[in-house]
Amino acid sequence: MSQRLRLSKPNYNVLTDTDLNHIVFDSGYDTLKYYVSGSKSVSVSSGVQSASDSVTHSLGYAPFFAAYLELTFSVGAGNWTHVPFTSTSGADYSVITAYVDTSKIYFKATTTDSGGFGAMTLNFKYKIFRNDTTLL
Amino acid sequence: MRVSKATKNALTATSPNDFIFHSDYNTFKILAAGKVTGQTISSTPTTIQVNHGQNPTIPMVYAFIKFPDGFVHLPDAIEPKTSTSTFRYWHVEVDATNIYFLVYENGGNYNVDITYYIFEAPV
Repeated sequence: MSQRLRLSKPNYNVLTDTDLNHIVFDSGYDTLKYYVSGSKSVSVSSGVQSASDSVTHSLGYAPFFAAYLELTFSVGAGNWTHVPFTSTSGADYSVITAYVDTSKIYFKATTTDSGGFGAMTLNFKYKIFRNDTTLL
Repeated sequence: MRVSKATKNALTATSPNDFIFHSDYNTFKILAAGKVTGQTISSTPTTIQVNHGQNPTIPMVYAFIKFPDGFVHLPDAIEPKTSTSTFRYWHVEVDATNIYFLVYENGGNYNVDITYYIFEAPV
């Protein structure tokens, strides 16, 4: 029988309880493990249809990640939203997203508007976990 | 049980961010993880279906896709190719039985790999 570390919430029997919501920690289940978090600003020049920048993570594999964008438009300035973030204007759309490869996390804004973006700075926050997606 | 970060006092620290682990706070458990590989996207959308094994609970799911560009993307990412034509797009849905990955072809077949995580917390 393999060894297992298990901690239950108060008033629940750690040895017999089968409801995982009553268990604070169970070594039989993986968890997300923080690697690094940070922020990155991407400058977008007036008239361009695409702008991007990146941050090196050096993990050597494509990690589990999440990224957030500070909104200077939409509902309210200063709000944050999970990316990918999509907005539309007529038949055109703009996408602000993040993606990774084995060495970097990339932040990118693209639009189908032939007039491009207006000048702006996109502020991102990101969290990279040690968990390997095993996709690269 | 408390395990603090380096330089933090496990006995006196009060911020959850000062702890690696604290038994007063539940952890975000990954119930299962899986991968589907070499899926050919030949229609719009191509739906890839995976039984998540949590029935009748609808679990929280987080997934990543490798597009042919060699990068790993989040759900709902759109990569515009031109102002009028092809783009890559995908979308994730879940019900009490399955996870559905809807991947849009939009101008030429291509292959994708997807890794998904099923979390303890139900939707």
